[in-house]
Formats: sequence, C-alpha cells, structure tokens
Amino acid sequence: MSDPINANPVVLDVSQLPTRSKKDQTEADFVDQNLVRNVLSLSFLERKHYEEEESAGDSGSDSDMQISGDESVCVDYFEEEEEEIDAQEIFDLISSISDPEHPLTLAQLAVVNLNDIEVKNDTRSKNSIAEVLIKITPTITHCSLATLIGLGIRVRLERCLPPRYRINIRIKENTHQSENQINKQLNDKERVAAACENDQLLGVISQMLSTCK
Amino acid sequence: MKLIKSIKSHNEKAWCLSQHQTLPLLATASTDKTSIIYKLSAASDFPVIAKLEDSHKRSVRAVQFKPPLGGESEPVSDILDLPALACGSFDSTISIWGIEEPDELRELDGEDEQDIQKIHKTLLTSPKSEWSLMALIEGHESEIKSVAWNYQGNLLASCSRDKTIWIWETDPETLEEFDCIAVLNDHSQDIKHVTWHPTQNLLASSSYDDTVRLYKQDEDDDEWACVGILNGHDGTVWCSSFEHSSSPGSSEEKVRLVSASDDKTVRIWSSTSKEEGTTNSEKLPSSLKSQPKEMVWEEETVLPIAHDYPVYSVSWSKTSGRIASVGSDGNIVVYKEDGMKDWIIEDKMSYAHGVFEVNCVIWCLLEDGEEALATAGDDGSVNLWRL
Repeated sequence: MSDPINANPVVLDVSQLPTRSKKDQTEADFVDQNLVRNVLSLSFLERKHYEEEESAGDSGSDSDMQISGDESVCVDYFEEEEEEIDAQEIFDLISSISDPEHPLTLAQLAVVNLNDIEVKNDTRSKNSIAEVLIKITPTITHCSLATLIGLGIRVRLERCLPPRYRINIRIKENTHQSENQINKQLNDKERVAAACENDQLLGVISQMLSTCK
Repeated sequence: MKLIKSIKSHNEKAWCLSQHQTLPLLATASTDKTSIIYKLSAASDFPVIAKLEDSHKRSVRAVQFKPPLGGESEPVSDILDLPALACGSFDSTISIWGIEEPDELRELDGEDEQDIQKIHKTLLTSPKSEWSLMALIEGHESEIKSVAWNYQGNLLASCSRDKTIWIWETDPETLEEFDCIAVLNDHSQDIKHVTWHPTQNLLASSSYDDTVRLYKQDEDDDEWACVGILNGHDGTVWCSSFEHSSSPGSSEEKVRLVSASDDKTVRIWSSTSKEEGTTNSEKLPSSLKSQPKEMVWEEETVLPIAHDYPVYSVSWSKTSGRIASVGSDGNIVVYKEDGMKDWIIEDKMSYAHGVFEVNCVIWCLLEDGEEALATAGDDGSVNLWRL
C-alpha cells in the first residue's frame, strides 16, 4: 500500500463512543465492563441479532442484547411494525464501518459523530417519507478518500434502512476543500447506482463494511 | 388522478419508459439489465410483448422507440414500418432491438386499406412477434445515461458520464449500420439526458453541470454545434422535454423546452429565433442576424413549486399541452397553461409508487386513444394513470 493520506489520525477509545441512553446501564451493570469493551471493539456484534428482534423485549435472557444496547440494528425492508429509527440507531449502523486506510472504525476516527446525525421523521405516519442527514468529518481537509467513505455509508444505509428513508450525506461544513463537489456526487442517485455496479469499487466497500456484520 | 394499473415489472429499479409513436407499445429500462415491452391495452390487461435480456452487463438506464419512417407528420406508407427500440446501458453500450416482418403480413394483398392498417397494428404488437438484437453500438467510455432518436429516425443521440454526446447516423429502414457523425463535448460534467425536438433536428442535453445545451447542424459545413445554453438551474438538470408544434398552446414563432432539476424546480425556456434558412429573416431582431447560428433563449417561467426533493423527469404532452413531472418525493404533478405564460397545478398525486422514488414520467396514448400518464419507480413498478 502507498503512503497513507493521513498517517497520524486522532483516535477515540471505543469506550468514549456514544451508545444507547444510560437507562440501559443499570440493567447491564452486572456484565463486566472490560468484557463489554473487548466485545464491542470486535464490533461484529451489531448486526448479529437483528433477526432475533422479537426476543429483544426479553432483555434478561440474552446478555449480548444488552451489550449491543439496542433492539434492532437492521430493519427488514417490508416489516410492518417498524420501530422509529433515531440518530443513535443510524450511528450504530455506520460507526463500525472501517476506514479504507486505517484498521479503525469511522467512529474511532470521529469521521462519524452522533451529533452530526439528524433523523427527520414525519410524525403523521410511520409510512411516510423520512430523511436522514449525516455530516461526515474527514480526518484531513484534502482527504481523497472522503467520497469513498461517504459512498460506504450510503451503501450501508441503503441496505439496512427501509425504502422510505431519503439519505442525505454531506461533508461537515469547512472540513474539506472540495466540499461541494463531494456533496453533489454523494447525493446523485444515478452516480451512486452506477458506482455500485463497479466490481472493484464494490470490493473496497465490502471490505469497509465487513466489520459491520 | 386515478391509477389504471400498476404493473410489477422488475425486481429492481425501473429507470425509464418510452412509448412507440404510432403503436400502443411501452418499453421499460431497469437495473436488472433488462427491458420489457408491454402492450398498452387495458382491454387485455397490459400484456408483456417481449423481454429483452442477455445483452447488457449492467443496468439498462434508457430506452426509446424509433419514430415512424418519414416522421410522424409525413409517415411513409408504401414500406412496412417495423418497430425498433434503442436501449442505453451503464455498461457503456447501446443495443438496438427489432422484429422480423410477420409472415401473415405477406398474405394481405387485396384487402381493404383500412383493414390492412388494423391488421398491421395487431400483428406488430403481438407477443408472437419475436424481438431480437439487431445491433450493439460501442464507443462511449463510461455509463450511458440517455438515448434519443431524431423525428425521422435516421439519427440517434447518446450521452454519458464521459461528458460527451455522440450522434449516430443510420438508415432508419434497415438499421444496419450506425456511423458516428459527431461527438459533442461542450458540457463540463456528466450528461444526464438527451432529447430531440419532435419536428426538427434540434437536440437538447441536460447535465450535472447544471445547464441545458442545444445543438444544431450547420447548413454550410454540416458540423454539429452548440447553439444555446440555458443557465438558471441551481443543481443537476435531470431531464428536458420540447413542446410539440401541434400541441395546444404552441406558437409557430417560438420553440419551448421544459427542464427538471435537482434544485426541485421545473422551468420553461423559450426561443423566438427562427430556424436557419427560413425566409422570415427580416422579422428577426438585428442582434440575431449577425450570429445566425446562435439561438437566443430566455427563461419564460418557473412552474409552481410542488416537489420537496429532486425532480427527475418531465414530459410535455403533444395531445393536451400539459406538463407532468415526477421525482424523489414520489409526487406526480400535472401543470396546465392558464392564459399567457401562466401555469397552474391541475393535479397532483403523492406516493405514486408508495414510499419509493419515481424516476420517469411520460404521456402516452392507450390502445383506445385515451391519454394517460406512465411512471416508473425504484420499486420496479410501472404505473399507469388516468387524469
């Protein structure tokens, strides 16, 4: 591999990352905190349980459930009783995506941040169009991989979110010199669709997403 | 607006639709790499006529039927006009599809002219007629986004992410050879859509560079050149559609075009400049005489805002003069001209494909002559609407 674009990124400890609200904490207390940390750092947890969603309410029976801290990470496309999706849930879906050049996740590099995720749900109906806005912060302002990272996030969300969500991915203001150009490309459905038919590109994205499962 | 029929055409995105100008045939384009041809017959529940597959390695992004020989205004009647379809794909090739002359047609001598016409129509839209690949055109460097035939069917335009438009010349009767006669590289970005004027050789292209450009062939040296730029949209222009010269509301003096954009607006542009070679040059303003090749275009109006997200497709009805637009928000909006330059929303349908985005809208005529709208969505469905 050629020289990394950002050789010394700031890295957050996994324990610093935001998780589902503290109210789950008391129930989870009996689980050894170090164990939680170790298991979380493997970060394959998140999707493992999405098919077992029905049992999610029964929190005592499965301690893994409490570790991952939320009920459904990947919502089935045509599920009728769909849970309201919030920013934390979006964060959980994308935080464990790997950076294309570091063996770290996008959350550890603070490329994705909970505060930069906004979910606009139409309160009138659960079946109406909703919007997810994600602002990503490249580690350096000339990061040539910013588009690839954005594309990885879009692919991840398109695969996991129900079709009623319109996904808007943008570069956080003043964090990249080609901000407008990247924003336009990331939100052009046709370019994204064509990119996803490029086997080479899809290979790289699959690599990035392999830490999500 | 009422749903006549929802056809579950594809398991993946349906991108584009085209209707044959004289036959009740509708073609689709999909991410599943196929195109399907339906008969627009409510009486027989919109049957599948053909499935065109195994010729593209990636999504079929665009389809368009070849217009009738001689153009719709002066159709050639002494030659049997077989339907043909062009498909543009993300694999950067264009496929041309057609049918063989049905055997039954040769046995029709002696029948009454009107009966023959009817029998022709039935045979040419029958599922028994086998659609086969006639040509595969290569040349573009990257994904093809749109294909369009000129009104006589002797020119085919294609555009691509490679920022070029290619104009291919062919014999509209045999469709045997496609020779590239021009490569237009005026746009600075990805070109999303191309469309021809319905009665003259004027081409419009819409681009990721936020502009629409117009092209004509120079009468003296036959070179194709850009003769106009429409600046005004604040986002990718996804599609444009010319007003038909026989549509109510059109004027002989004026060429009009409607465009749809990522900026959520739909705009009408007009040009009062005459075609080159017309005898009315003394009526033109002096500014035009000095530059006969350029067309002067101005923004006539922005249609009432009715989309919350990007507008992907727009279509101007030849029959009723109305305009329809669709987009990411799932809305179908129908506008009608109410007096001079004043447009109002006549009808609107939300969630036309459920929560899915709608990629294409076209006006079409059903077998019984009724005007309808056809839409294609990310749900892979084709929906037909009565107004």
